[in-house]
Amino acid sequence: MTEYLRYLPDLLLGIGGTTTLLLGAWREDKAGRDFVRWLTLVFLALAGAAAFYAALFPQGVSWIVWTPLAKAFSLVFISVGIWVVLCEPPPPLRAGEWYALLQFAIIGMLVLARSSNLAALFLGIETLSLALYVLVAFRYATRTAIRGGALYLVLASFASAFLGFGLALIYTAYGTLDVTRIMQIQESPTMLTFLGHVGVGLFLVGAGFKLAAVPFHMWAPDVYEAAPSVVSGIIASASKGATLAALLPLVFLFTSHTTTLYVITVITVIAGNLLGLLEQRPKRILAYSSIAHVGYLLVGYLALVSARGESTQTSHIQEAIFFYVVGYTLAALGAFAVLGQLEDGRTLYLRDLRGLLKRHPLAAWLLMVFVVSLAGIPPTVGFLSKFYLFLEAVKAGHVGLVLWALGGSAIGVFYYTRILAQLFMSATEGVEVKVQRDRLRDVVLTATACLTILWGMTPHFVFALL
Amino acid sequence: MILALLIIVLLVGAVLCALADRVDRRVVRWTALIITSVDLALAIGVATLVSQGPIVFRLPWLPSWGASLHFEADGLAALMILLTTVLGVVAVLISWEEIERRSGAFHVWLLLLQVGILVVFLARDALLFYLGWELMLIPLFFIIGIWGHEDKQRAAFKFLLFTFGGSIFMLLALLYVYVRHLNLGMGGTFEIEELAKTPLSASEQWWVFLGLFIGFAVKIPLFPVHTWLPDAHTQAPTAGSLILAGVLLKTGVYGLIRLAIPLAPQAAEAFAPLIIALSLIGIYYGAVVAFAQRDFKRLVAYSSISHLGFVVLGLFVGNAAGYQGAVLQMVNHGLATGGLFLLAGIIQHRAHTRNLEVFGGLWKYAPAMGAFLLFFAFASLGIPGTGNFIGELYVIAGTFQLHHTLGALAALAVLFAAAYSLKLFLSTMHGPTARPWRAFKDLHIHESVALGILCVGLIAVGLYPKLVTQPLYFPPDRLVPTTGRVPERVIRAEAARGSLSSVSRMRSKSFSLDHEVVLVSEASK
Repeated sequence: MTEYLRYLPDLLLGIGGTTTLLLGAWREDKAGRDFVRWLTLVFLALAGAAAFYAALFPQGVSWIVWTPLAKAFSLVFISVGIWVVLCEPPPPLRAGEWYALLQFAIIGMLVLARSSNLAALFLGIETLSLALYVLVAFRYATRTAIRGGALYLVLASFASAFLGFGLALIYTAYGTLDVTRIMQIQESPTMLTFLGHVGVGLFLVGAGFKLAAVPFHMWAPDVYEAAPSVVSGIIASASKGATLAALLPLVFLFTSHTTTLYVITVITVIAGNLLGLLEQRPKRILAYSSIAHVGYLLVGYLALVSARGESTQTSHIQEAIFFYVVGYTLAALGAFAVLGQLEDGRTLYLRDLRGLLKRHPLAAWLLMVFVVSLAGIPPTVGFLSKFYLFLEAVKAGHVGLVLWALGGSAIGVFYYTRILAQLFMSATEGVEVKVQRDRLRDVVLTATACLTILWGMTPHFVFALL
Repeated sequence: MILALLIIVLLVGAVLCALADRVDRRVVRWTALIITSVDLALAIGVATLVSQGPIVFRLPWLPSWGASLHFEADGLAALMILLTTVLGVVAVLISWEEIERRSGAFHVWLLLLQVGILVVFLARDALLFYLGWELMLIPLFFIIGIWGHEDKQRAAFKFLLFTFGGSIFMLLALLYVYVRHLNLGMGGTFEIEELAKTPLSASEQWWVFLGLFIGFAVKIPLFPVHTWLPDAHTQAPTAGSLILAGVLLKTGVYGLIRLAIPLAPQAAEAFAPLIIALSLIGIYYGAVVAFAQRDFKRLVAYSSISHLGFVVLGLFVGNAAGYQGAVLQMVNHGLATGGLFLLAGIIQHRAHTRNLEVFGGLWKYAPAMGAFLLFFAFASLGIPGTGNFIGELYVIAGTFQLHHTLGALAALAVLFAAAYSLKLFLSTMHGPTARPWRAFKDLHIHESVALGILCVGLIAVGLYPKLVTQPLYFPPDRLVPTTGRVPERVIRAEAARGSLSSVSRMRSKSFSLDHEVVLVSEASK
């Protein structure tokens, strides 16, 4: 019986999701909405506790494995769920669906974080994506939402097809989808078949789509802009973090594909920072920023590929990647949440930010902290995590790659500071914005900003999770 | 502990200013003034204590990376801290009337800017140094961009992009040295002193020095990468210009002294001819372009480029006189150019223009202001009695020791300084009155105090330069970047002439220091 305990967080969230879905359909008034909100919180907290303890039970051979890294990532994703529930007031309509989809998305992330089998990886990605398709189009009354949702659905299914076909070819080549088995086979001196290489290549394309790495990034700005801000935040941070977490045990697949990865990384870093330069819409800027951050994470991933076999170095790089994901998640979620307060069903432009300092000064200051962190300027976590990641990359011998990444981040500073300039330096005449205020959200965002600065000085707390 | 207090006081002050903003603008000003004065008192404390040996403060920070909160003040650092805190007080005084909009936020950024600067001057840990370095960016970006003049946003962006762009090369160089140190089995550490022991090959040193040099040269700024400075200076509010000219530019020179030269001593020597050439070009270029300016602040900004050329020249001629001259000029430039920027701000606040062509005959309306402008213009051209004279003399003497032609070139540049300084003074204070300046008021009391502080500093250094040169030799100063190439007879000859008495007094000591530096570079071969 105890071997099922390792699925306990997923089961809890599954039960929670189904319950909130049904309860939400039953009562649509304010009391009902609040009830499903707090119920979701309870289930997420239970899942968090379960994830904390499930890792302590003995692990058998399975599709999913609780490694310390997987446990840390799982806790982060559950925290993201709690953060979203607290930060975002329940939607006026279909609150039950909102919270159910959120919990299902987190199940997908949890599966991804722990997958030790490529089939589990596929299952996790699909669970996560299915929930996100609906969440992107959640405000279906607006046309952009439907368009964004449809775009995401079509392109992500396209990517899934690549991923699925890649997995099929890998299965043909190795005869198994179990990660450890594939690793053993690959380490034995047998010739790797052509099909295996093609499979890994297709797999890379699929994963690239999910991560929005260039040249598979086209969907990101449109989808981020169409989705409710907080959902864009999840897609940018936690969803990518989960995909990357699933890729971490698979480094050995890419040892003969480093050149491809190198090229993808360099163009992701450069393009992500260049494309956002002239953008006028802040959510699209954050989308390009998210592409650039995937590029930095890929720098870490390449270091991991190069460090294969060396256990202390591997664990250091994994720690750096984990820290980076945490730091980026804090800043991206926070920034998107602040932008979310300004949305009222129309396209948000940079100049709309001008009103924020007058209408809601706290939000303006918080957005500044998040943007500074995204730009990687101290004393925020964005600086220290980038520093750690690049330090590990230089240790792994990737000096040139780090120079590319640093150059990219120097370009990117320009668009981050454009946001800051709009917030604080521009004339506010003639700017009319409505700011939705919510006391709980202010508290949560302030706490997030404090963590962004605190962890930028004392990262031990994050490392302690591992 | 006193070093940590220096920074904590400012951080607490920033919080207090943010809170005081809810009460009243006056409360903010007084809070900022008290905080900066306390900091100044602490800095004076550091400067007196440092004669008995370096003050060290060390706390573990990131033990797994080998980074610690390691602050250390020796003579040079104490001087720089003193300069920073003096200008901190002056900056608050001069913003008294000028900053009316969002005064709370302004003072918060002003104090945070000083936090970054102090961290740079005190850090003996490369990561901490870099942290302080980047910490200076955002506050000054906002100070220029929010409270600046007509073209403020462009200037703020230019400043931020230039300095951030430079700093990435510096970061990469630091990471590389760290990783080399680690891979050689010497352990992972960011202690600058430890990193300096890394035996790098000549080509590695070359690259490391280049990376660090790009980062620092942008900040100084040296000739080809100086273009952000005139814009930033011109557009910044007075206090921003003051801190920018007074201390921020010195962080670049300081970084060369603390990081670039110790980490790559051989490369520093190899680069010296290029850097000397660049700084000579900068001296002349800055002076000539300054003379052609019509904008008060732009003129002073270009003169800054010229003066900073002298500093870097002194640093790289590779002898004790040059080094002492460089540090003297760092202090003097901070005080004299700071004074000129204050006057620029004061005049602009009254006249609503900086255009030199519409000024003229202001002495009649504001004699006290005129007297101060006369003093600072003379200081800027290096009149005896002010610190600038001594500083330039030392730098020129050091350059002569290296090469007579170079020395002559450097000496001739002083003539150019006289040209633009006198132009500045004459076109504002003398000549026909171009406009009826009826409402032109003379100095307020807080403005006089601010200017007076700078005056006293300049005269003190001018009459008693040991104030600056002596702390440099407080034991143990391991970082005097002299390379020992200077023929001893030059120094002896000068000592005999008696013009540079302190050189002769320092000679034995500085040559023993040379010996140490040479040993380090020998070991790294």
